[in-house]
Amino acid sequence: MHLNNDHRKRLVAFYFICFAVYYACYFFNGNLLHEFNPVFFHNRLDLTSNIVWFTNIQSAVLHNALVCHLMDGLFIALPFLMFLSVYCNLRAQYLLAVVTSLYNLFYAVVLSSVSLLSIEGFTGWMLLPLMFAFKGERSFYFAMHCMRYFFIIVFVSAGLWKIRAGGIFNQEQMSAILVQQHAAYLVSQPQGWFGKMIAFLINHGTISYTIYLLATIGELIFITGFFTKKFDRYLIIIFSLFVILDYFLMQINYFSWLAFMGCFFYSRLKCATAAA
Amino acid sequence: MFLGELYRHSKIACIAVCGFLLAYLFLNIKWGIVAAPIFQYGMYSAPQHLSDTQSVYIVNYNGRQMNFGQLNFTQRDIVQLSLLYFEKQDEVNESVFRTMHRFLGFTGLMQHDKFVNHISQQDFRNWYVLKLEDIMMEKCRFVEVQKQNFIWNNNSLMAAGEPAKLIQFAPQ
Repeated sequence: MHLNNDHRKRLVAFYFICFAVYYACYFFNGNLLHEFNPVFFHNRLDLTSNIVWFTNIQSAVLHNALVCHLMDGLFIALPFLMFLSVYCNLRAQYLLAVVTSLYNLFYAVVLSSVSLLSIEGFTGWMLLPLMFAFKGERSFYFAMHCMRYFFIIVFVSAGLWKIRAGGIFNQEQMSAILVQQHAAYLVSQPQGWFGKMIAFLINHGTISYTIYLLATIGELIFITGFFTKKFDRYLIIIFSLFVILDYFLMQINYFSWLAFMGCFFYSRLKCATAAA
Repeated sequence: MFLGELYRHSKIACIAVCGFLLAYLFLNIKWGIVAAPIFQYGMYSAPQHLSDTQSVYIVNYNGRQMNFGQLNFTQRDIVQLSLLYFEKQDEVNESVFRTMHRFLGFTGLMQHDKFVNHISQQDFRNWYVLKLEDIMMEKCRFVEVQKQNFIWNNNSLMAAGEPAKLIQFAPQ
């Protein structure tokens, strides 16, 4: 079977559903700009962010509620318009895809600098719209695979970092990470079931290190994706487990990265012209 | 090979993808500055030890110590991280400005004024109290924040040293 326009529509729907769920999470947790109502920003060693600061948008966001409302509105409106245009096959879809991608980059830079959210979690929202910026089924095939390879590079590099920085060679790494991650919780409620479970893992270094090791292997195993698409369904399962366990154990929300899994789901479909 | 197929399909797209990959490799090998959407995914990679000191902000709200176990992740982050970020923002923004000026200073658009915050301790406290009121769903009469260091000892976190009082605040 070939990757065709129907798959493109399903992928844009998947992207939008993931995005809408995430937007709802931001909304209900008070993380959107107009809800968070920021009063200061924190800069980072990021070229893009510092170029964005040239515009002085940070001052507008910190002092003007209307700007915050407008930015939050556009953050959901653009992906919705992109979804509609791709689904209805409108000519505006290509332009909307590029605009959505650039806007999400801009929004992520601003929101992550004035709030407590990390910018890395926005990567999918920035890059995935670019899949829909190309005309023709063949171009879409290559764009989708570029996203798939990008995700593999990111995930494998996370595993390689653990080797390069040395965390993987440290037996008490996961115990120490758990202490750091849950310090406030452990001080307040050490006797709850979650506190007891975390304390158990901290005290049993071999078990917690095994979890860290398995997570690193889970990241490195994605390297198979460079050579074959045969195991992509397994990679989806591995990644989903990784995200669920991270949420449960570390209380980190990596669900936004699930949007990339659409590229793995359709990866074995052939390129239209190549097979014709 | 995928890049070969892509090259036959579109040379420009292939060059763009290769450029992106090279930038990713360069920024990751160089280990320092990033350029969104290219980041370094090295979280939790550097060795950490059980003997490391952990700082926790202890918040006394209307005479009761806040129980972080009863808050969700976002609320806990607001209570803990916003204090940490505010404490560091002056120093971090100044240091980032100095570093980035070496790369972007040539544009003439890097006015120092844009890259630092103009916020007083009082402004921050007012904002922080509003956030606490949202979380606790109770009007604030008194807040005291102390920064306390802890060390993991056998089965629990034990206080290490004296706490530092950061905020004592009774809103009007």
